[in-house]
Amino acid sequence: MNSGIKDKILFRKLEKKDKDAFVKAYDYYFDDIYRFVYFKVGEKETAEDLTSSVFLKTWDFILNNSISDYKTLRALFYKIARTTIIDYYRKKSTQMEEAVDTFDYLDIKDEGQDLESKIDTKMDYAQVIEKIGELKDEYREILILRFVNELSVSEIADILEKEAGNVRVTIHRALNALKDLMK
Amino acid sequence: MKNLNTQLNNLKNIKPGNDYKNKNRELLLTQIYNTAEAKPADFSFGFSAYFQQFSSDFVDLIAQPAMVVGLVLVSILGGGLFGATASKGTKPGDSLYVAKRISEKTQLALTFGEKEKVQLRIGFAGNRVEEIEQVLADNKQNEAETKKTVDDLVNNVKSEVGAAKTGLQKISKNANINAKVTEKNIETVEQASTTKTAQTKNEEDEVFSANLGKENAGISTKEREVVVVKKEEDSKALLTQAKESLKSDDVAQTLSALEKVDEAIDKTVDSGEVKGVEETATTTELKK
Repeated sequence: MNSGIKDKILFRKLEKKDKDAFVKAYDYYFDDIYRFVYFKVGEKETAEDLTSSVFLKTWDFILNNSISDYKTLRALFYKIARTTIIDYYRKKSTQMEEAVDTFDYLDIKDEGQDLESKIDTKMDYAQVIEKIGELKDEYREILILRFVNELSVSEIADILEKEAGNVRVTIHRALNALKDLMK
Repeated sequence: MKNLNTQLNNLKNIKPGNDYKNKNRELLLTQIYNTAEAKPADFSFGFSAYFQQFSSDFVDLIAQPAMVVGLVLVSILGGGLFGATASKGTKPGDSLYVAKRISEKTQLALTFGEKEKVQLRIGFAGNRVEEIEQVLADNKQNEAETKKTVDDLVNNVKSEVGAAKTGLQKISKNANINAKVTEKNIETVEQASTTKTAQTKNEEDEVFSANLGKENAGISTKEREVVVVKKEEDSKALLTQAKESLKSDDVAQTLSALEKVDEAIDKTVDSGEVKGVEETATTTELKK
């Protein structure tokens, strides 16, 4: 089923506080939200704690509020994820020191590659992860949303509460910044 | 840049560990089922539960704008198709006759190309001729009503044939194939047909007057109907001929066939009027 339609169906059910729909939403969005949080905080354990917290907070929010003002369920998850991370940093009062602790999660499945090119590819990924960690938070966030989690520009604009044109410009600048870092 | 996008997209491979994900899922399930109100129909099963689930999913699905538009289109087109099929053999006075006429109008509006439109119009004229036959065969209405219906149908045949002729003229102009000659042909055909119609009318009027003068000399009702039906068959044959000519792009031949249809239908009217309503002749003449 088309992801947009699935999101809308789940959204409608969640407007009626349907628990089963929330479990389905968990299965559907958990990986994406985890990845988004992971790249924002740069630590596996913190990302896990925060992602769990995001889902509990979202359920709590759905129970106590009307979600009709939100365009999509996905946007609601990302917005709560962002505020959760902001709260986390407020408490911690320190900025991320280390970009990404490990790239062991990378699963390079192409068995046909020879060892040398496999290592090269892994090095490439490692480099992207390392360099993306060096980008400023605004750029890293927008690249993850657009190119990793594949959100549309209008969805990103909605989550970040910015104009679509502004989002496009930021994406362009973020890509150029990453390109410069990788030279 | 493209390579960079691909490299970024490959970061999708970063996923939470399965252990953590499953444990967290269980924890979340416990939390939400504890905090939320119990669902009243959680343990219900059987047809009602299935129907409830199915209907709620179905309503959710059809509530999507694309689905709504799709359903509306299906019902309009499907309904139109059903209506057009069901109304196919109807005649004036039948409940689905309006549907038949509307479907014809829609067909015409959705057809592009002068030739195709002329073909449709000839077909519709054929339909009207068939309806005249049906109306005459079906003696449910009284004579005045039947006459009115037949008159309307005849006028309709004429207007369809007239429109078909205009279409043919347009085709011949556009095609620019011996444009002048064709137009001249049309004029000749029209002149000839007018003269012929006038002559035929005079002859028939004479016969009609002669018949009036004698007791029981007029044609019996059954015979009259036979005459009318026979002439309808002539019109039908001529319409088929016109269609065939149009298929072979013979504009002049089609026109001439249509002229003959006009004549035949005029004769039909005249014969029909022998049914005893004298004023009709004048009315029909005036209409012309």
